[in-house]
Amino acid sequence: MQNLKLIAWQNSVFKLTLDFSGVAAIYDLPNCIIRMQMRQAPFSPVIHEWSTAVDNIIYNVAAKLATFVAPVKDVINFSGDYKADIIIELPNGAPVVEATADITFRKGVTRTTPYSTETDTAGIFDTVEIVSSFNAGDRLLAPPTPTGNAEMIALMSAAWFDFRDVSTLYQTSDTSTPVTTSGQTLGRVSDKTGNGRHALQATAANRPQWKKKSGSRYARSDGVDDFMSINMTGVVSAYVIVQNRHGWMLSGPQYMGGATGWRIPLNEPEQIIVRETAFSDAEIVVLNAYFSVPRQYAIFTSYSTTAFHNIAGPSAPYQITYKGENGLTYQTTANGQSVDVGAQGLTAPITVLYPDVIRTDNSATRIYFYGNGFAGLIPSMQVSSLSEFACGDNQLAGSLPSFPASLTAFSCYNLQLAGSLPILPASLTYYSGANNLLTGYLGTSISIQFGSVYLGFNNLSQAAVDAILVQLAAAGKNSGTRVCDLSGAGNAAPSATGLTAKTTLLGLGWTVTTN
Amino acid sequence: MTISLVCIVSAGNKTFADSAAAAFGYGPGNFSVPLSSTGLFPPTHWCLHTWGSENFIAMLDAAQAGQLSPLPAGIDAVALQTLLSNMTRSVRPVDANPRWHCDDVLAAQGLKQATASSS
Repeated sequence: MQNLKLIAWQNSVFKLTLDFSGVAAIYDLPNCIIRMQMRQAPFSPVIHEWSTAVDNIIYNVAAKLATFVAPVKDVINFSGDYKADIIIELPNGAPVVEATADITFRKGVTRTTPYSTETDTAGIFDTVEIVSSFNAGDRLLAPPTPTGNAEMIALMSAAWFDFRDVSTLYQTSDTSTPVTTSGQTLGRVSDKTGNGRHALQATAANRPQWKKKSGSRYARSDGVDDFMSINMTGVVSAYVIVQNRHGWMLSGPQYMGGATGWRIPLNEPEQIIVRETAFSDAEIVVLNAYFSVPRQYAIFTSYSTTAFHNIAGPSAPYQITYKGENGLTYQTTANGQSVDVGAQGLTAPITVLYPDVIRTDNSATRIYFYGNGFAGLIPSMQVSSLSEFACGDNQLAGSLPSFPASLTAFSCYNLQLAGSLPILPASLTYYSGANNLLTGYLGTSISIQFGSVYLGFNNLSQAAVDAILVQLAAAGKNSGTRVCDLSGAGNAAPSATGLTAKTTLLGLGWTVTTN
Repeated sequence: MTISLVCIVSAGNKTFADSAAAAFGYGPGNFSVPLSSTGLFPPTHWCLHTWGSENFIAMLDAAQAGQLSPLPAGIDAVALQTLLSNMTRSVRPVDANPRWHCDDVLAAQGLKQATASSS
């Protein structure tokens, strides 16, 4: 919320000055036309326009301040609620809507001279206050303090990708061809921490696009085959923040297991921040202020205009927010059914926001959102009541987060998860994680309840394959469902130790498939 | 970037298609999406989606017609012509939904993205 007060100036002219330093960092403002168009409702006729083209906006290049000027004769009849778009008209004529504001004119009129005789020179004592609420995520105003880039770097230790900073973006996986305009593909995003963990994509067909829209600058996957990888050698677990223009989320600890092909989430990120230690409550406060958009439990993007989720447990259903590429928003508490946001007028790609309340609501017992084509990151699952979590058949990247002790079934097949399988809770009976990029396993024992293991078509090392077989054999489950699939391209074959454990499992009635 | 491009090659042509793309400077493993008629492994075809330009399409056309020279070292002109003649290629405007573009081309070919069984 930004409260602005428009007051009479020298008795005749109203002035409003805004800090445009945030916009000036993006555009060559002296060569652009700045406009503010005011309407009574979206898409209705323009009631009044300010513009640098007619000098009722004056832009101070040095101070990066834009002053909106309106003679009393123009403003005197404004009253009530209005919508105002602030538009940057680029040198090539392309208009970019930088911000939209809800503006209310409240008049406390004390007039000493009739308007009909007003000459714009003296005698008016009207005071008009406007209260303006700029949309969340706009970049008109400078990013809020208290943090600047130096402080942000201090908050992280592993990697920082800033898609807003075009100086870190390249079309190729080396630094030979910088990104210069929206729509170009990304071959490299340089790590701003200085740790050298650059996000790279050497293969042309797999490169995401860099997009610039309404002041936001972000990476967009084609939803088919795009990804970018970073080298997480030496990082066993980490916390990952993803921020886009609609919100930010924090997931962790994610078990990276030193993955060399760890893929960054492509849910239209403006920033991705990776740190090996947890964020404190005080740091979360700083991050909230820095991002200036609300924290979410999860943020996904998809090229599909239908989405499914099924969340069981909470007494009041969660309100899921869908945001379309065309700017339309749809919110619903519909649960357990496919939601067609295309029918609500939203165009793809859509962004799906799961409210932050889920993160701490210990009444949720089941969270399903499989089969949606969602790009993003698996959110943290530290909900003590959670029994079932299913997120397979999406385009989620990153790693597996830790499992809550209450979890009995987890499904994450057909994703892009790299890193290690974390310690499995004793209550877990079913794990379906085929067709990912998982390489390791961090657990030291498996519960006798665990009877369904689907990890085919990963990149599991021989040590990981052996460990899973040995621990299953040690658990000794000999009744109920007993299936273990560690086969498929990418997974290593078991060693002699693993084969011995496999023989034990077969003797216990298991169906075991390995390479 | 002015176009959305989907290309499909048979599994037998994948190795050469990838090596040809790499020889032209587009990096390794461009055909990275496994396809089959059942939607399950093993893949019978592979596809890619990318954004490109009209110039790129013109280059493909010239190579298919045997009119592109010089070719990168190690790329045989006839083998490249054969590959491109047998490659399914679809072009849409750059602002087309890439996922739907790809899905439409796969449906027309009777193919689905191949994945491991979910359980």
